[in-house]
Amino acid sequence: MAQKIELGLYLEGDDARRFERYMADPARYDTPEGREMTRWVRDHGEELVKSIR
Amino acid sequence: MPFRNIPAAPDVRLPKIPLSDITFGHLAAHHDVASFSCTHQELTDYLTVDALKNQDAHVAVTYLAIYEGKCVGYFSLLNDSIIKKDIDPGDDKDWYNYSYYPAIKIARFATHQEYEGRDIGRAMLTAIRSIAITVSKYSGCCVLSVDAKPDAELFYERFGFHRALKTKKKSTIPMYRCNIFRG
Repeated sequence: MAQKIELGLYLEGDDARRFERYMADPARYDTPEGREMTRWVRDHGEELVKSIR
Repeated sequence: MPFRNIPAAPDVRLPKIPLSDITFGHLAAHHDVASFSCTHQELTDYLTVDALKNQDAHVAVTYLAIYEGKCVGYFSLLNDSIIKKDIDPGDDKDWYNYSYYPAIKIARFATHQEYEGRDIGRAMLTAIRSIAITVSKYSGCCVLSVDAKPDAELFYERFGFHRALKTKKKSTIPMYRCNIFRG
């Protein structure tokens, strides 16, 4: 039997604070490859999605 | 936010497959996925047994990555949320913007084992981020979430995902990354 898909990620205490700090300035915590992907998605993402059949 | 030294991408000798050579399509009954094989058997089973059923029920949508006519990877997406709970009403409001953040969850993500190390994962993650950005134009969605298998954690970290929980609570590792453009 397939492993079930769990929904809802609950954060509390320090985990919630870390998440909030991250969301306030996500670029600060990004990686070079993450940034490169972001640039690609910004420039070409729409085109890619339109190509999905 | 703790940082860890993230190793460079593994130096594998197989030629990378450029994103431009990969097409993406919704899983459909006519697709031949019987030959798909992943190192994690449950991910193979999900594609061959459950994915279409879940898609027909509108529970999760599955996309195939096709290269030279062959399914070299797949991923399944559904809506999720990140919920901050047990927040003290008197807590510092500087860090408390929203109780809920709408997200898209990467429910399944797998590369055909014969194509590992050839950038199929990068291509699929690029497609996921593109889909999520498009969705966010129609319905609130600012985060990607995933329950990473331990051997996939570094892959997600390379692309800016962060561990959600300091303390490990289950066999997978919940991770997130923001998926909105600023500036």
